[in-house]
Amino acid sequence: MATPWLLVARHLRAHWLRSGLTMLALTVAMFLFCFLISLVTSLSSAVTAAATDRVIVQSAVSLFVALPKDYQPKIEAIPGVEQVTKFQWFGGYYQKPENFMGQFGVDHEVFLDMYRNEIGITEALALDGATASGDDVNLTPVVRGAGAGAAAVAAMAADRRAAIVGEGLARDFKWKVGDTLPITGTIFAKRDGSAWDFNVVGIYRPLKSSMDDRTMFFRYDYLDETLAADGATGPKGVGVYCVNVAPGHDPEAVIAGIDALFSNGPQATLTTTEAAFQAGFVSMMGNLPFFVGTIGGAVVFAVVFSVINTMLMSGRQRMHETGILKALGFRNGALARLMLGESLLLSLLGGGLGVLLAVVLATPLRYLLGAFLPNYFVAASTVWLALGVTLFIGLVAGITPAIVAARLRPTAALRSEG
Amino acid sequence: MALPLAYTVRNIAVRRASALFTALGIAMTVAVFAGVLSLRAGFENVYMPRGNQDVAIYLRPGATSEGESGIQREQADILVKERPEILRDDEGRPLAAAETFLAVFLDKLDGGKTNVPLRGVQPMSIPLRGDQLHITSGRWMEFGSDEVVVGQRLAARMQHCQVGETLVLNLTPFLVVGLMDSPTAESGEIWGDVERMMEALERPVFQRVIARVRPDTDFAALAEEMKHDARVPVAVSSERAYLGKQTTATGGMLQFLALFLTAVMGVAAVLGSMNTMLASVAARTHEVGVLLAIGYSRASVFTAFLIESALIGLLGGALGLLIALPFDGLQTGLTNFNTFTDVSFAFTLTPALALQSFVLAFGLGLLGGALPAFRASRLRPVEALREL
Repeated sequence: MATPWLLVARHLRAHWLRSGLTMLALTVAMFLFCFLISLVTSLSSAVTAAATDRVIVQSAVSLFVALPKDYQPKIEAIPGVEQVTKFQWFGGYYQKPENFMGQFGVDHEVFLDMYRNEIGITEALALDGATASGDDVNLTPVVRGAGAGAAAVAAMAADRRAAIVGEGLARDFKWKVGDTLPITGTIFAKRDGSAWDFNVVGIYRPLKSSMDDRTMFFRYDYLDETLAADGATGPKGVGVYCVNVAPGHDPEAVIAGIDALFSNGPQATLTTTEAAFQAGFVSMMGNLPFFVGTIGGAVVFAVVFSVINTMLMSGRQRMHETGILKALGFRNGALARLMLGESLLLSLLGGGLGVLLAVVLATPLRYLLGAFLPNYFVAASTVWLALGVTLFIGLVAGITPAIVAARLRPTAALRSEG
Repeated sequence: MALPLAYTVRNIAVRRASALFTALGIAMTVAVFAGVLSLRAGFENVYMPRGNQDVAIYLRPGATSEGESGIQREQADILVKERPEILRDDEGRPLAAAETFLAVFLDKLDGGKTNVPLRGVQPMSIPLRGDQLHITSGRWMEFGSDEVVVGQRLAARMQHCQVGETLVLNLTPFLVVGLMDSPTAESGEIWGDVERMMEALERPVFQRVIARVRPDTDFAALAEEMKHDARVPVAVSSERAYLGKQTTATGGMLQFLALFLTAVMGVAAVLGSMNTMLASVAARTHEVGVLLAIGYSRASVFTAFLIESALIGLLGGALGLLIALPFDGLQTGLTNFNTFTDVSFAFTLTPALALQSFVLAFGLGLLGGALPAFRASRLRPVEALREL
């Protein structure tokens, strides 16, 4: 006789409170599991998504020691080097110190071209209409879509104080193209104590998970000229140089070439691939990813017990009924399948909902995490892993009561009270 | 008439497997709660509680930590020699030191690089730290020579940091001549002569001035006065206040993590415990009928089931602490995102934290037991007795 699958749904409904609670527990647990795994994968995605044709030159001593400006032409002269941009960490904040974010001074002539695979301009200031806009910010002429990238390059070139901001920042602080942002420098303080003014000429969307949407890029020469004119204090020089390696050249050879060139100072350099550079930041998290992974395991462990408990209860309560089904001629296999099916349905419904929640809530969670993990996302592999774990929980929880149900002798089962 | 506690305890013993499963769910929640918060406690313990109220830190105006600060040599000289609040020793020397600070790359023993705080100090820096800071092996560096002393907690986790080994800073080799220890952040730092450091790293600017000041110093007034000082405008705060501000980013992150995880895992644990208690009530329907029939009040039945659930919760709390306990004292490192340097510290499971964990476990047990206990107390004796 075929397996009476309808009974599975009926059983779950008959004990709706117990089924519901177990399902909810699974939902919560699998949601948390996905969240934790995503924390770790998002952290390391900056490493895996890093450009393979880019190397980063920094001081061999410290992240906070600047390299001389005259290193740039020397780096550009090395065979295999295609383009070079400075990256100068600004370390400022908007309005209050809690609003920290990444701000980098870059070489605007090459930056957007070098990062065309990472940064997509969604909106940019339209230069030709600039005079028509007057003082009304609502009339700021904006280019959207395909022409935005070129417009941003032109707008950067036209304005020394130009800046491009990520869409996450624009959303949180309600910045629009055409706004002037007062940014207080903590490393670079203006002599007169005022904030630095940056004009938003473009908003970008990250195209790869190695780039986040909470960074501001501005013109290095604005910073450099202000420092040179003694309008501000702060370290002169360049934090890191980002170097795009020309197609067909080995990044390792470029790395060796750069480090050899500066091995006798005045500042020794430490050149790494972009992946290794990002990995350095991940390793700064110390053991945290390991802890988080352990906690994810603990969550699964805890919920497994909860589901096992439920299925054992369900099996015990159903002895009498199992006896009747056997007496009616249903085979042992069918009864085992019923039990296992109930367990699987229960865990897939609950766990599936949890996974769904994790996917749906990914964006709000990224906003909540803010600057701590600006590129939080739930990877497809995480979804599959979580569904696999859910399936596993269902199997483990159902296997014992299924065996018990199959082995039960009808006479003994019928004798037990239903 | 209340039901005896022994009745409740015996019920747990009879259904021990399912009670244990439930307790384990609560235990995991408590372990995570206690684990993450003891990480935070250990991290923060290195900072503010160790700061002195009579030690002043002078930074560049606008700087929130040493790494961002910069004080010119002439400015530092003026501060050290002329500030009236700075105390002097028996020989009339100001109890003050100008120091440099830089997060340098160092190789970890288990691979990878991290940012380690390197401090250039003056001779007065050592007595300024008082008795807390002492040498555990080797000796202090000779001022004027290329020698460094490494904090004990840092030396345990980094390469090239044992006495007799050599650390290369930029192009200059420095000999490690001693290890120092202190309950403060200094145990995770590297110290050398400030003049030698400035030369080796080509950084001719101090980061801060640290000084012992008169105990009655009013820091708020002093800070306001010095912010607008004509010759040397600086941001001044007590060491305690300064250190308190150095933990906001990492401490806040751990706090968020602990609360978020506890909330979500707590919900799952409560659902699990509710299930167990519902089953416990269902299996004892007949028994509850008997209890009600022989005159036990609904309130005492409610209480008995609630206590049962709370006891399971406490058992979970104990198990959870048992899981978290081995971590206490374990050395680890984390990046302080205010200063971007690696901080060496140990998990610290404080008594207050242990108590909070028990309260949490008790609360989870109560929450899970409330609905089933209410169900049990509402049973009608006649119908309950009919159940077998």
